[in-house]
Amino acid sequence: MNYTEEVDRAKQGDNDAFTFLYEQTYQKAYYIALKYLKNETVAQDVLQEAYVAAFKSMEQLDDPEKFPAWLSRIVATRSLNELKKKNPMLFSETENEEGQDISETFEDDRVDTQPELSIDQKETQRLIKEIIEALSEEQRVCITMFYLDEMPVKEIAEILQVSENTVKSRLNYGRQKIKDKVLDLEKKGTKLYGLSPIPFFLLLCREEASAAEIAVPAFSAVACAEAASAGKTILGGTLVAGANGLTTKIVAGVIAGTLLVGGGAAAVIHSQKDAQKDEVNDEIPIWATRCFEHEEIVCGKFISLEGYERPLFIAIEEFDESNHAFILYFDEEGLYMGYGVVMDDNNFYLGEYEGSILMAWYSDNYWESEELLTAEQYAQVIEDADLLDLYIQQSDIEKAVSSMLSSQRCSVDNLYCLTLDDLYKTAEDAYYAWLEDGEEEKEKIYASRFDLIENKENITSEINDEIVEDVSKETELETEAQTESETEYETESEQEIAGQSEKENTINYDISAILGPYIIYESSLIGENNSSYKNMLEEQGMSYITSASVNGDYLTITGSFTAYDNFELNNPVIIPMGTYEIPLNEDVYFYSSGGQTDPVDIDDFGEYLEKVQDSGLTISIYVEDGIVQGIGILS
Amino acid sequence: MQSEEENRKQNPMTIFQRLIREEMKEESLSLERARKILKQILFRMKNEGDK
Repeated sequence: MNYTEEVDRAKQGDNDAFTFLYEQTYQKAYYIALKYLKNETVAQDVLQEAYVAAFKSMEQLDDPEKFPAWLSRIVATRSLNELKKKNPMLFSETENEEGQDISETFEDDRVDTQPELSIDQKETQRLIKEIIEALSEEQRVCITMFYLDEMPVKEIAEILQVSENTVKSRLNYGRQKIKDKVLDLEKKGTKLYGLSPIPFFLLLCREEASAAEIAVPAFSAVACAEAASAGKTILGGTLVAGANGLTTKIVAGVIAGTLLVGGGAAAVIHSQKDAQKDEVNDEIPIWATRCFEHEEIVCGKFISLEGYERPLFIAIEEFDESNHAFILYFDEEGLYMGYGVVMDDNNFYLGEYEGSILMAWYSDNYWESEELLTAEQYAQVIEDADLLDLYIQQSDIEKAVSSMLSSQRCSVDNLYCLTLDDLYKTAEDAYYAWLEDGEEEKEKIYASRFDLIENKENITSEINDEIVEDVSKETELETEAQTESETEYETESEQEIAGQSEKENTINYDISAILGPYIIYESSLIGENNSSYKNMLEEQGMSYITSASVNGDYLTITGSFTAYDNFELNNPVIIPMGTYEIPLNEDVYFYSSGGQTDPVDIDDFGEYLEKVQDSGLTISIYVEDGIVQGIGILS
Repeated sequence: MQSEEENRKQNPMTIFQRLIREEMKEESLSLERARKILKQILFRMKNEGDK
């Protein structure tokens, strides 16, 4: 279909073009509106409004060939708005004005011609209604938008003002529910493919490819499908593997009205398992709902750990425009205690260390970590209700992990990462996501190992070894200092000595070769004898400079650096303590925002530095192509 | 053994793809009603455009 020409004409106000566009699309548009609104008159009103809105804003349509999809979205959005205004009828409210269930009023006009398809009609009606009622309003809307309107998850999330993961969760859960039921019906002999046209509400997977795209949300991932194919229990019931297994990218329609079948063949029996599943769906445990009782909690996620009776809850509170992360533990009454910290970014990292789970996150410019309670500790918490003691003392492991993460000696790359987008905004979403993915996720968490280096005394010398090796590879120039350094570390005792005398070493090489042509170095400025400040910085894994001066064409600096190979200050690397000489550009610039507003002559740099040391200022050095281009002193 | 065609027919996706097509026909607007709506749309486009 060539829409480009017609859209261009429509933009000029051509009635024939409007007519063409309308006639090509109104059937589907009306169908979409009807699926949302379940009322012909209202659907027709919305249809009219949507077309008027679309025709009036044709200029906003970038690709004329996408007019049908664009229009569908307008229809969907307007239908949804109408639904909100009208307080939508629930699926269960399928009664007509006389109080009669409309699903029982539809006539079966095909049964006579297909007697072999006849089964117990009322039982089937009941099952179909059950499928519909198993879906929440949110799930119905999400699935309609995704499958019928072909909206991407991101767009649905924007319209509904929920996270993309919430949308994915609703889609996944809705699909799973539908598929369970459909396969169950099939298994019990209901020949759905033989049914005649019926009034129904449809959730349709249009094609496997598009379904695959959203069938793999972060972390819930393939868990559901894998669990299903392995015959695992999900949602309190065993998934039924169909001819195509659950790897088939579902499926399905939900029939909102009735099935047009008559009596005769075997009746479909509603299994006990289904009843149990429904019970689970309807009842969210109190401990799950209480997680969201605090108004400040904006999102959260349940995580399972080995041996725990109930999952732990990772929660985010929004306070003073900052995100505070909490880990909550529950007792049988649903009470909880937590440990909170302000987060600098949106990620949590989880990993296993000697059977314990450690959680890490970036906070206040350095890493925090916490060792989560073991199942035994958790049981003790339940018994004693003496929760606070468990949080007051930070374990040595936590300290070590925090320190090593800050110094880049313990990478988060191999840890299990959760972002804020992976958390859920309602107890329902969080609980169902946990039911579906909790076990699989737990395995992944335990498989994410912290690679700890416990002997912290060796860390600095190890860094030096690596740096020296890197420089050697990069520059192919072995300096005298490098040779000495490598030689020194041949024996343990010599290595120890080298570690102790680290700060006295002078390493004269171009440190820019470590990372690349563009580098920002940052460090705190401290005096040589300020041990308390120095200790604090070291504890936090932060770099610091004790002296700096300009000698001819070189900047000579003694200290350690945090180096970045980009201006966004990502991927920091710690350059170890040493004395470094870096060539200066003849036009090197110097700037200060630490109380010194006037430009400082580079020749006065050393003198200026002495004045501002111990003042909490930071020095930034911009290096390009191995040459210092600029130096800044920042507050 | 079921044939490939039979399997395809029994695939829930196939079933419901067919069902939705059938339902769309069932629940489509009558031509008369569709034309009335179009008239109203065109009338509003002209009317509101003139303002």
